[in-house]
Amino acid sequence: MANIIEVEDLHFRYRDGTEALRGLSLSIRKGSRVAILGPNGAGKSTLLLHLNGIYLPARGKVRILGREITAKTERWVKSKVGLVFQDPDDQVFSSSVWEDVSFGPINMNLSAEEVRTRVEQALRAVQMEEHKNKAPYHLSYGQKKRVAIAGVLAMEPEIIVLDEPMGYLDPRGKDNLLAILNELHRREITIVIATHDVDLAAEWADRVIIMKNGRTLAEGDTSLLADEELVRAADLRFPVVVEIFRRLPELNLNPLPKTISEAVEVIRAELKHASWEHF
Amino acid sequence: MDHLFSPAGLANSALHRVDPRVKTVSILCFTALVSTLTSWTALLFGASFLVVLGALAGLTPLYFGRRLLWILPFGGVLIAVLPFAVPGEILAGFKIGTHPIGVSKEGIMQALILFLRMMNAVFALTLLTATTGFRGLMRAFRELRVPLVFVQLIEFTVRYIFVLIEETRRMMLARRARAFRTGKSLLDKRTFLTLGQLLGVLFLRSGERGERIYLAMLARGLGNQSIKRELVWPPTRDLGWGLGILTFALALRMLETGGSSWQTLLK
Ligand SMILES: Nc1ncnc2c1ncn2[C@@H]1O[C@H](COP(=O)(O)OP(=O)(O)OP(=O)(O)O)[C@@H](O)[C@H]1O
Ligand SMILES: [Mg+2]
Repeated sequence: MANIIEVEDLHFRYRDGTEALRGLSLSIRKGSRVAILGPNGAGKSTLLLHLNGIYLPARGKVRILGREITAKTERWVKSKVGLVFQDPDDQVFSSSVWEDVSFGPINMNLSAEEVRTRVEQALRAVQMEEHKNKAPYHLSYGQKKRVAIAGVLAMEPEIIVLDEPMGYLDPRGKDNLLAILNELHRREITIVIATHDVDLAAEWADRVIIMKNGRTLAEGDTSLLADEELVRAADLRFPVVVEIFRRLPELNLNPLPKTISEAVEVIRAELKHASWEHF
Repeated sequence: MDHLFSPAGLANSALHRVDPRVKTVSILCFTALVSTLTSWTALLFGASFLVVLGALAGLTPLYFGRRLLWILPFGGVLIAVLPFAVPGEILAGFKIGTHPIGVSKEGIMQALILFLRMMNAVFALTLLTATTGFRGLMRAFRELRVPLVFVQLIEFTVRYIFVLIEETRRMMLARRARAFRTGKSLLDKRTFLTLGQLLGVLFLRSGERGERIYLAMLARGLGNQSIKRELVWPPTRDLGWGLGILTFALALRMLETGGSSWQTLLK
């Protein structure tokens, strides 16, 4: 069973009649790092809510670890898939940071001792230990976001799904979050993020899914982000690195570099080449 | 913000460590017993006992006093009216227009008793919440087999109060950022309209946010917690504490009904 997440022909309609998902299909391999991209209103958040069994499919199927999500399995799936909401104010509700992070582990019936170590670890991972007794509503937005992430880390799920995880984080916070995600990846946890940040997707993801109007537009590796037609169709833009090399057609690069390290590599090679020609 | 249910005092005093179920039962019974007292001396003893217990747990008399102040607006009116409303020996009289009103001795006495009873109840609940905390209290309720609906109702009410406060704060801020000023009279038409509209949107917004927060709780496995967790009998030392608290209340009750003559004078 290589695909840990499988979505087939998923439809979903909100109470007011908005059709948020219209026949979406995708599959995600165990241990991969997936970025879901798409314009505002594409249905990313709605999709993520299905992955954790909050919404049940109106039509179509969602399978996690090979099991279909239904009213019967929706409890089980919540311990397997951790979901970090887009807006931390939706997720963080307790009167202290500590209490909030322990909410999930307590629901999992862990022993008091186990709850304590998990909460401590999670708070340390997002560097919020010193705020553990603070009221979440007195924290800055970025700090709340970290608490929200800690709340899910503490449940130690096999799949972690984050909706716009970088929003409001400072540069240092972003680096820290990337480090956390990399650590999770090393532990073979499957990570799915929904984001507008094409640079992040290009640097970090090993698989990209592009959505629009409640459907999958394309699925593939990060080279999708250099595909002009696709980028235009999905109202995205090129990652900065891709954009730079697109303007240098004289280099005759194919494929174009997408990450900073790839770019550095190419530039170094060119420099070497140029210095040879000099002699 | 320190709130009604936040734990306080020494984090790990003997009283903090007593089993929440024992504390809940003994302190609630204490409150019930003490509220039947009719002499101010006995009531004063009850309150002092609670303050002493509080001191052991690191709670200052000031902390108790502050809690009393919070509650006073609710009970205070009745207490203030009693001296005028109860007939009896008039101590001081004056007139409002042509209508004479007087302060009676019996009225003052009853107001004092009422105040002391309230003080006992507030102190007792303060002691309970400050040494148990919200979570412990809710767990005690569950384990004492209080119907789950009630417990959840309390839990959600407490959680959503903050949602409501936060939502209001954000909305006021957004309005103020665009030059809306409160502080003028509520009769000012624009202030009135803006605040009225704010209240309306507040309910809609908190409703929706409440729903999303509920989803987020579900996402973190709300309701998975089985109540089948093994219930263990509280340790003897904890039971001792509970028994001590109960005995004190019972002793006060007995002393009072024991018919010492100085009490009947006060009735
Ligand atoms: N609770 C709701 N009730 C009605 N319609 C909704 C609700 N939530 C979302 N929608 C609608 O569903 C569609 C998909 O919304 P969704 O939030 O999934 O988009 P998104 O891809 O996450 O967008 P963004 O990038 O802005 O976060 C949108 O048209 C949105 O207006
Ligand atoms: Mg979204």
